[in-house]
Amino acid sequence: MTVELRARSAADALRDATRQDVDVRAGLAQMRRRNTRRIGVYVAVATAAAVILGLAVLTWTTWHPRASAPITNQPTVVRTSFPLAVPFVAVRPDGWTQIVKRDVLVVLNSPNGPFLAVFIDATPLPTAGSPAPTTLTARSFAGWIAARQELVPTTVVQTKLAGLPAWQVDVKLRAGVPATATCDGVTDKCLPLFRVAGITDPLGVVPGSAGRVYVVQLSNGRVLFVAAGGSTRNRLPEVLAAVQPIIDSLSFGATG
Amino acid sequence: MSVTEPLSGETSTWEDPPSRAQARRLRTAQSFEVFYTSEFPSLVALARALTGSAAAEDIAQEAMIATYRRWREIEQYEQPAAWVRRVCANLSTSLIRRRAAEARALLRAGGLRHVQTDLPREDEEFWVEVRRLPRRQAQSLSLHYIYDMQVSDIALTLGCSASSVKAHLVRGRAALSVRLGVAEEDRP
Repeated sequence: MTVELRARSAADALRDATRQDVDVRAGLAQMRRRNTRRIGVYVAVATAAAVILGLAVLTWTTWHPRASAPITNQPTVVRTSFPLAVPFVAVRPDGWTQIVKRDVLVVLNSPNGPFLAVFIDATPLPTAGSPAPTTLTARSFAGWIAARQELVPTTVVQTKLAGLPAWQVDVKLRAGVPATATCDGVTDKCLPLFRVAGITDPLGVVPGSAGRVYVVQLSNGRVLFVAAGGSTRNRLPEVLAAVQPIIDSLSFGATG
Repeated sequence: MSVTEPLSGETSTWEDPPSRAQARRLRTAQSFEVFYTSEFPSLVALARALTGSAAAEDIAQEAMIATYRRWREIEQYEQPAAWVRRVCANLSTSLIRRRAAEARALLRAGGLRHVQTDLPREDEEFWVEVRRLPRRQAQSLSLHYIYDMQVSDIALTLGCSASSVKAHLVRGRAALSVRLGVAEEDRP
């Protein structure tokens, strides 16, 4: 007997035994079932993993919220302060730019023309027909504006701005009135109305443009102006619609 | 206006011809079935030679599942059988995989009557000694005797050189000769 013969005999016996034991048809069917079941298990495991991962991410983001980037059409809150007078907070719509001058004037400009100016401690520039008001209150200032003969005003209306008493009047320059002065922030000639401390050029009205002025009475006795205007191609309703979100969001800090 | 009736009311029994993809799937399934039928019994024998356990059929099935999943690629090979035999040989000699297959076989044993025909004592003793050999020697000898494979085919199946296979066969036979107490070759 040799290894070769033992091996041949053992291999024959093994092949015969296996042939008897194995049912190929049943084996094929079983193999397909196992394969299908295994794919099902893979899918179930992958789904469970995805659900667990999703829940983990959801839980994480719930407890660790990320500061979201500002949405394009959502206004940005900016805090502008008047160190010598009244700090205020207002929304600044996207695209609007801000100019601050000597802590007494803030101008918010939109890219389409409308603007909003907030200024304080303004001195009326009297003319022969319109002498300066005798009392320095918001009501008298509003009355003085409405009485200016160079302007076409609406009726002065008492209102509230950010909870403070205010007087509102819409104005535009009367046709034919000469505009010869140079006003702050505009290239066209204007009719000067106010001078603000520390600012070289006066503030006034440009021919062809219309605006609304809120004269606000602060509790410390000072008077604050909120003026909405636009370029000559902006109509008043358009200007008012543009500045309304800012007006609505205005809130003033301590007013003394 | 008249309507032409179909002759003798016959209706067509022709089915739509299968699409190319369906035809390909059908061909693939058929070719695998043929392959499985011809290869599976000897694959179980190979697994049994290398494991000696009731898990042999399970290991052969695992090798077949692996082949089934890649059948479209494997059937293009020159010798698809070499691929599945190599997988089976490796599964059989991998301790961890063999234990996993045994565990699966045990789990299934509850519901199935697993019959494994006993081998004659001498033949069983031979395979026990084969399993005690180093892995490559055991694989080479099993492939050689179960499939009656030549050295070059074993080399192709195991993915090694023909000279290595020769060496494995010579060393394996020598070890078996000593352990079984038989001559290595016929004496003149």
